[in-house]
Amino acid sequence: MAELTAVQDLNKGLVRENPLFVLVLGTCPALALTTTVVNALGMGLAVTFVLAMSNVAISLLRKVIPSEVRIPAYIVVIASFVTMVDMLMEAYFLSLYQALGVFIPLIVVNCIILGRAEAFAAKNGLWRSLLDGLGMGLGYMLALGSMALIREVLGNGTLLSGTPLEMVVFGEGFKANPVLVMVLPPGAFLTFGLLMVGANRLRRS
Amino acid sequence: MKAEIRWIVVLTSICAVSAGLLGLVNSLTTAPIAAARAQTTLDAVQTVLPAFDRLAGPESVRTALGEADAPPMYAAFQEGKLVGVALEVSDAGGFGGEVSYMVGLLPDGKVHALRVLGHKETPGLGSKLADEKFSSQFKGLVVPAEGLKVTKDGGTIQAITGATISSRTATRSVNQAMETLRKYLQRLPAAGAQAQPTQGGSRG
Amino acid sequence: MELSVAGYFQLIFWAVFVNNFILAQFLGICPFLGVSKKIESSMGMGIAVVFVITVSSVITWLLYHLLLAPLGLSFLKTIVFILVIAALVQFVEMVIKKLSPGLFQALGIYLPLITTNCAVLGAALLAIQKDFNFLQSLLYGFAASVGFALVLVVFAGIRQRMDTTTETPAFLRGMPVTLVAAGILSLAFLGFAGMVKM
Repeated sequence: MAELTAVQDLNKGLVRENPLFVLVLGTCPALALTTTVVNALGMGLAVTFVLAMSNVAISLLRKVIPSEVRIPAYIVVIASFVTMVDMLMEAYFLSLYQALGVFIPLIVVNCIILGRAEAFAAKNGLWRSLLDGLGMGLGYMLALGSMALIREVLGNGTLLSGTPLEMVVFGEGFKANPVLVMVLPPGAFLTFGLLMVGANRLRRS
Repeated sequence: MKAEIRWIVVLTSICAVSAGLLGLVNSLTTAPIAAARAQTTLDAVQTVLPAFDRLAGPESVRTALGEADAPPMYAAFQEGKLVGVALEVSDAGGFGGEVSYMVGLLPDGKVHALRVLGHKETPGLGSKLADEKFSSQFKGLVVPAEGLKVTKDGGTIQAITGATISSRTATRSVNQAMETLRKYLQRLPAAGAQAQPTQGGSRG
Repeated sequence: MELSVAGYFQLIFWAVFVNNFILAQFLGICPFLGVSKKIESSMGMGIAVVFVITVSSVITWLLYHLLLAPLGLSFLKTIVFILVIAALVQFVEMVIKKLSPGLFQALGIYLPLITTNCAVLGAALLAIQKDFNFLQSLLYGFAASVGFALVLVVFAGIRQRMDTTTETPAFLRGMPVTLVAAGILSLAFLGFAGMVKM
């Protein structure tokens, strides 16, 4: 039984309670940073790290923090991990850091993180909170990645651009004249909307 | 009252621990951040210059020229001879705002290469400034007295389709870099004494 | 950053239309999708956001330039800013409750949502990043939040019509059609691109 819950804690964020497509949280970076797969996965990793760490810290502190002041306490904990990620990325992944820009410090106000702290980590033990954070983070990363896959391939004609693995998907002709609107702001809303149709379908069936 | 004291104690301790931890991480990352930023600039310098074995950064160049407010220039030397100068130039006339370039020039007044350092141009149109296809046009060009221009303005540079405004930032930046170089070229070899051993430039 | 008098007007135009928080920068998408079903409620939210962003831009600018930067503590800006914003929202809530119960009834439910609106923290951080002076920060915060409120209200109008007068196919109902409509509105705002540069 214990093993079953562990799998469930990890799994639920991937599909059933996917933070982006089901809970509709963390929409700002999902629209802004999904122009390339690399940016999307980088953001997904940063969120996963913050989510897992803050879930662990809050689960450890859950008996110490009085419930009346829990929100400011959570905010300080989350903001600390975000600032750490901010500094570490600037030091070791400078070009990704520059591409993600202001959305790294804005992880602080990403509702997924405060939401999981409040709904899960504050009530559960360390181990389960860690799994929950990892599962939700990976689910978010998966969602960002799938949006970016569509936008980068159609809007830029490439895949994994910005890495040595960069490839041209539909040939050079398409790359020269891609469906530009996909990498522009309107394409972000359209892609998100159409993926939402798919997600709703999946959930209903 | 007891409850309030507990709130204050808990919140203050959490803030103190966070601030302490962040101070620690900050002191550990300050040096790597500076190094990473310097490396990015150096990478750009290396891609726009021919092979060199010694490089003088903007500070050394300023000292050698005796001008504290000279524009940022990187002077590259091979076996003691000035072989190229890289200049950081930015142009505010882009479609989305400022576009900044690293322009590599040769002492004989030809363009060697240019590279976009940062831009806010439209993805897929103006962003093609960064493509090799556009920037390679400049290689080996002699900048005429009236400056390089895009074909639409009666010049020779083929603008990116649908992004003439973005393309003009490149011609203007190269012209500006060349103007700066002409002003300082005679005195630049003096910076050779302060150049640090640095490999690079072979890729250009 | 140095700006001429005309430059200040350009800054306002740029923040409201060209670099609109919602449609170009993607800040504050959660309240945009959540509180845009009715024109009245979107107006309430819009006014509350304009107020909080304008005041918080002023406070965070002062804190950063008078306290954090001189002490070499600029790395603490995210934590300090978010705490200031949370406290400010609480404070505004208390003041409005006391001074004008009518206004509190209209705005009250939106105020707690503003703390986690990334447009507020985003405006504060971007003003620092762009090296704005005091007046520029104030104008930027005000103009960007007016742009936010404007799009929120315009979009609420679109959604109200969509919900009442047209037959939306079942598979698009709810969030998908909302996002597609937002995409079309964003396409319209793309026309402002490049009109003013900052």
